[in-house]
This record gives sequence, C-alpha cells and structure tokens, in this order.
Amino acid sequence: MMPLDYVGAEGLPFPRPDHPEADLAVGYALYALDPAERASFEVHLQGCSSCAAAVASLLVVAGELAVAVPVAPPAALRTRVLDLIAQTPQDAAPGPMDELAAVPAELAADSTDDGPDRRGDRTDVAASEQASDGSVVELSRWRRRTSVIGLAAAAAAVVAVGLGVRVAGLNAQLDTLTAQQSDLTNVITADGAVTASAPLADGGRATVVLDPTSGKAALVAGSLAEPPAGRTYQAWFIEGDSAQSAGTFTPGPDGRAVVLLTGRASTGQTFGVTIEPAGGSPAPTTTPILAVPLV
Amino acid sequence: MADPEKGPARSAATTDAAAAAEPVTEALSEAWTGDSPLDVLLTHSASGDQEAFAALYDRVAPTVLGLCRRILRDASHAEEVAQEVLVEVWQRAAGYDISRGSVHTWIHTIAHHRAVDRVRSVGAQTERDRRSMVFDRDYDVVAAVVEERREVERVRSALAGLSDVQREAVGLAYYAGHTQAEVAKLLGVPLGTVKSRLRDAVGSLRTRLEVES
Repeated sequence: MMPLDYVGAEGLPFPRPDHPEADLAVGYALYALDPAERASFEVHLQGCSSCAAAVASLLVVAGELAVAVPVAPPAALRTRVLDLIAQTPQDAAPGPMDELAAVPAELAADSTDDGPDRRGDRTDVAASEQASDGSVVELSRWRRRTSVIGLAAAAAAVVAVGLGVRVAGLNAQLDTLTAQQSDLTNVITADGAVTASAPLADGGRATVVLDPTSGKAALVAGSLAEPPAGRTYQAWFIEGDSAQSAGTFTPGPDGRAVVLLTGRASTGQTFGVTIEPAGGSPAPTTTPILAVPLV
Repeated sequence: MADPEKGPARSAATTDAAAAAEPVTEALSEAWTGDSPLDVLLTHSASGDQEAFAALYDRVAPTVLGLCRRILRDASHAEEVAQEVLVEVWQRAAGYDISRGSVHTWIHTIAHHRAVDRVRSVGAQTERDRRSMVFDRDYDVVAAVVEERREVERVRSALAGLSDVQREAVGLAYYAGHTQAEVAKLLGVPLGTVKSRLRDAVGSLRTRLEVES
C-alpha cells in the first residue's frame, strides 16, 4: 500500500508520520479518488476521528486552491442567479445527505485545527453545542447501530460498503422506514454485492447495488430534477427487449433518492430509469435518462 | 465599517421591475457590506434574505466561477455550473453547519465537486490538462480589492513553492479534475508515485498557507 519512496507525511495533519490513510485522505480532499475508493474511505471516516479531523483540515487546503484563479463574473450571471434564487425554495433543515457534497457530517467535531481563518468567516463551535442540533447525535446513534454492518461490510465488496455510508447519511429518513431499512441494509451489505454507477445528465451520479444472491437491488442517485407535473421516475431491469418494472420513485427536495427497488434483478441485465405518467407504466414509454449495465 | 453603503453594488437587484415587487424585503434587510462575515451572510440567506445572498454572491462568485472555468475551460459550461453551485448554496444554506468548516471551504468544496463531476461526464481533456497549471493575469480584472489580490498571490506563491512534479500532479488532480489513477496514467508513472507527490504537495501547501497566514 505504501509507496517505496515514502518519506513521511510532512505537513500533513496526522498524528503519526506514517499514518496509513494519509494518501487516501489527500486524494479524498482533492476529490481525486475513484468512486469505489472514495466510498470505502467514507466508511473509514465514520469510525476514524483522526482521519476525519485530517480531512477537514485538508479540505481547507483544497478550498484555498480555488482562490488562485478568480474570474470576473459577467453581470448577466449575477442577474440570473439572483432571479433564480428569488423563485427557488430553500431546504428547511439540513438535508440528510449533505455530507455527500461536503465534509462528512460529524468530522469537524474532532477538528480544532482546520486551517487559517483570515476572513473571520468561521468560528470554532464547541463539540457540546452540536447536541442542540440533533443531527450529529442522530448520526452517532446510527453509527453505533450499524457497527456490526461496518464489520460485515469491510469484508464485502468495497463499493457496496460505500453505499452503506450513504445510507448512514440518510438515517433520519430510514428511521421512519424501518422495514425498508433492514431490506436495504441486507442488500448493500450482502456478500458479493455488485455495484454499477453512471453520471446523471446534470452532474450527480446514480449508483445501483445488486445482491446477486437475493436478486434485490437498491438505487442511490443525486441531482435528479423534480419530475414534471403528473409524471414520476420509474426504474427498470432490462434484459434484451423486455423491461421489468423496479418501481416508481420521487427524489427528495434536495434532488437525491435512495430507493429499495422492487422485483428481482440479476447480473447481465441493464438498470434503467425513465420518466413515466404518475403511477408508472407497465413498460417504458420514454427514452431512459439513465442506463447502467449490471456487470 | 464606518460607511455601511460601501459594500458591493446592489444595483443589479434594484434596476429591474422585480425590485418594485419587493419593497418589504428591501426595507427590512440590513445594509450588507463587503465586510460582512460570510457565515453571517449565509445565515441570513438561509432565512430567505435575498439581499444577504446577493452580498454573499459578490464575495464568492469570482472564485466559484474561476474554479469552474479552470476545470471546465469552456466559458459557457463554466457559467452554467457556477450558476448551479450558487443556487445550490442558496437552497442548502440552512443545512450549512459551521462546526464542519468555514463557509469559504464549504462553498469551494461544492464548486469543486460539481465542476469535476461535470468535466468527468463530458470527458474532453487535452485542453484542461495542458492548461491546468497555467495562471494568466486575468484575475486582475476582479482583484480590485487589495485583500483579494493578496489572497490570490498567497495561494499562487504557495503553489510556486512546490516542486515541478508536485505542481503538475496538483494541477492534473485538482485543477483538471483527474483521479489519482488517471494522473498516473497521463504521466506514465506508478500510482504510488502520484500519491506521494500529491501527499507531499498538499503537506507543503498546508504548511505554507498556514505559516503565511
């Protein structure tokens, strides 16, 4: 794992100079890991406070790099953005999957040294204050509950483990969907689970996890637009000319969706998503917005 | 501070007819200035204060757009992604948690991820690879504020302090949106070499940026 020319983690925020996760933390902060690596490292972050704190600090460094290349925004962009936000509803509370796009949720609680504060736009918040928020407490509760899952997942396919983290981030939703939760958990922690992933048109990604043994599958997607009025997203397992419905779903207000798919799938099929009239269709009637081979 | 009106021009929000429909918002909002802390602006944005968001926009749009442009190269794609990022900041403002890091870092992380997601889905590479570490002077246009110019120079000089191979790796990974494995392939060196270059580069940047702050 460690390169031969390893000389120590000079300048890196790790307690030990030979911290084995240093390369992953750096790659993670630079958003330069493969999706599978990223997913498995996110699992590691859930249980490793020193990596979590390090990542918070490294993200500050990465964020600084953004500063080096400013461009004067055209006035039209300002007008468009301000017009758009005037008619864009805001998330009322922290989105359950916020940590997907930013720092993993609980990590900054461990970080007291995450870089310069030149603009005075941040202050350190005592870890105890986080309890008033509730979300951090929720998350650690989830973490305890899923520690067994974490162990099982470590032995399972790396990408499937990553989905476990995404599910962890959705604990608030899952708490109200207990039955689905255990099914979903079974799918994503199944031994030999396979995953397939593809970019969505507007920048997010969709990942499908399939447990070939049970035939059950789950979908995690980000950045899905709200379907047009009277329409819904419908998932399909496609084989040759025939498509079997895997259920309809609606993304949350943040555009993300985590769905336990209905029906049975197997490797060799293609997973697809189409936009259908509300209630769904017996067979796809539109061009798929997503098609991922289940390798 | 003495002059609450010295903040960024708010003319764009008040020149069109829409402004007339929002006299209440206008009257109730505080006079946001270029000095208002970003977290204060974001907190007010989270409760629907469009004036606060406009001030926030003025502060972060140059870096958000610049980063998108650097990664995507194409000006119109970059504007598109920057627009999405800034609207996403508005939408998710209430979800921002200061204990996770600064507003600055939060917004730049979103911008970097969105721009890289886009460039990876589009695929075109040669131009962004070639240009990933070429810094032109066009930031001078926006860097009228001395503070901002200092920021730019501070980061650029930290980058300049890296070895050539470290800078190249950072350019391909961060500014061109390649994974470590892709960087290794592009450079024809082992993955472990890329990892250690990036690790050393980030360690060095971290030291330099903090030491100088």
